[in-house]
Amino acid sequence: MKAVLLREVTKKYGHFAAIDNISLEVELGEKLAILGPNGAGKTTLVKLISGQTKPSSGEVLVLGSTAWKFNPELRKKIGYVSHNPMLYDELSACENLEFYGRLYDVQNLEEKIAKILRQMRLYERRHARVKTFSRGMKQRLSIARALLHDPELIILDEPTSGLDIEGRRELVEHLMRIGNKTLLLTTHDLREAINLCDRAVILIDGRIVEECSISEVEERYMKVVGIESP
Amino acid sequence: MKALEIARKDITVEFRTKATLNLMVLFSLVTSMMFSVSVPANIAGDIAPALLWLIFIFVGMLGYARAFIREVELETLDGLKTAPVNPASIVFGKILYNITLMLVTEAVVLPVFIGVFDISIAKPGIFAGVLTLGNIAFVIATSSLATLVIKSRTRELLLPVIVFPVIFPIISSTIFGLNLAMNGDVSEIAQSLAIITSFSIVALVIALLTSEYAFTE
Repeated sequence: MKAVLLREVTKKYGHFAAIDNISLEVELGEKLAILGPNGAGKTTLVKLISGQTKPSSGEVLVLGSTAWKFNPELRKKIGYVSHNPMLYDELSACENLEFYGRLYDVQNLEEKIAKILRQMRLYERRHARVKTFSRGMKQRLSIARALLHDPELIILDEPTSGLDIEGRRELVEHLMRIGNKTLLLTTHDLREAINLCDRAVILIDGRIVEECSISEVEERYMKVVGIESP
Repeated sequence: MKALEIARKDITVEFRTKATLNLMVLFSLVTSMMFSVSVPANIAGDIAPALLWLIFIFVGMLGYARAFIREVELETLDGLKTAPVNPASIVFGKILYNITLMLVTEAVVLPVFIGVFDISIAKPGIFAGVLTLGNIAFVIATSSLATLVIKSRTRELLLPVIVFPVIFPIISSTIFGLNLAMNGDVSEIAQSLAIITSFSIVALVIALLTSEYAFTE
């Protein structure tokens, strides 16, 4: 079974094809970077894989199940982090995780929350409302939210967007510790992709124009996108 | 039950900020005062049920859609959409939350309205019951239609335009029922209650059936 399998997938908004006839396979345990400039279709692609969007045509299978059809067992196997932390500002860090933990039917919830908050260095602020957190702390808490239910597939959609250099470095360090899980990462930052992933696809205008190992990504990206890596 | 978790979360957030609740209660009180000084005393008793219901409709239009719009604005809706929660549970959770808002608003506004209009109600229990039942039907209809317009950029303007024609049966039946309860002749009230209840059930079923469409792009 593949972690992710896309067969000739197209997603159109009106006449505009945000994703244009993409086929892609991701093995279990693989860490794939999805790279591309703004408007390339990266977010649409992860929305298709995370089941938020239905393809206009083609098939999206995640861990053997159709992604967009509501399947609670499949949802429990996916952890999703976007550039927006998806947290409730008026709730504390603990309350946010308790809320999501109950939605995901997490067992031994209190114990797991304490453990993951310690890992993310947020335990001391567990009772503070999220609105008092910095952007970096919110993103760390968002990753805690996505990992709380111990997913098999982790989808990160530009998780370091809007963070300062220190925040990015800290977040990447946390992400490097996620172990043997399948990871999909969309990013503009080649260094982030090189640190976290072992393969990359480059997306332009909704199409995969390049697929390569992570060691080749810098050269290929510069060639395809026509800019130097940051 | 996941719907209860969602409702509990929304109630906690709302009671901490009181953003929507304060607005709803304040708007209701201001409108009650305005109506009470503008309406001649000799006809106040006759039109009080309609005015009361009008206040709850306006206040509901302000408040009930916020349950969804806030999730869209904060982008927390994506967190719910990717969670193992049936879309119907999300909608049902929002309906439960809106019913709580409505009950709190009703508990504050109803005594004030009765006081400022100086009206006597022959069957106060039935009056409150009809009002609550009508409000529940209104909450279900508004919440259900709010899910269908959340994708629209003009959702806050679009919602009243589509809600008012849909809720016409509840408006007329609730006002009719409130008038009967106020005058004490409740022999025909069963018909109003039957229409309101049937409407609520149909609106709820439609809301739950269309929820998956509403949350899938």
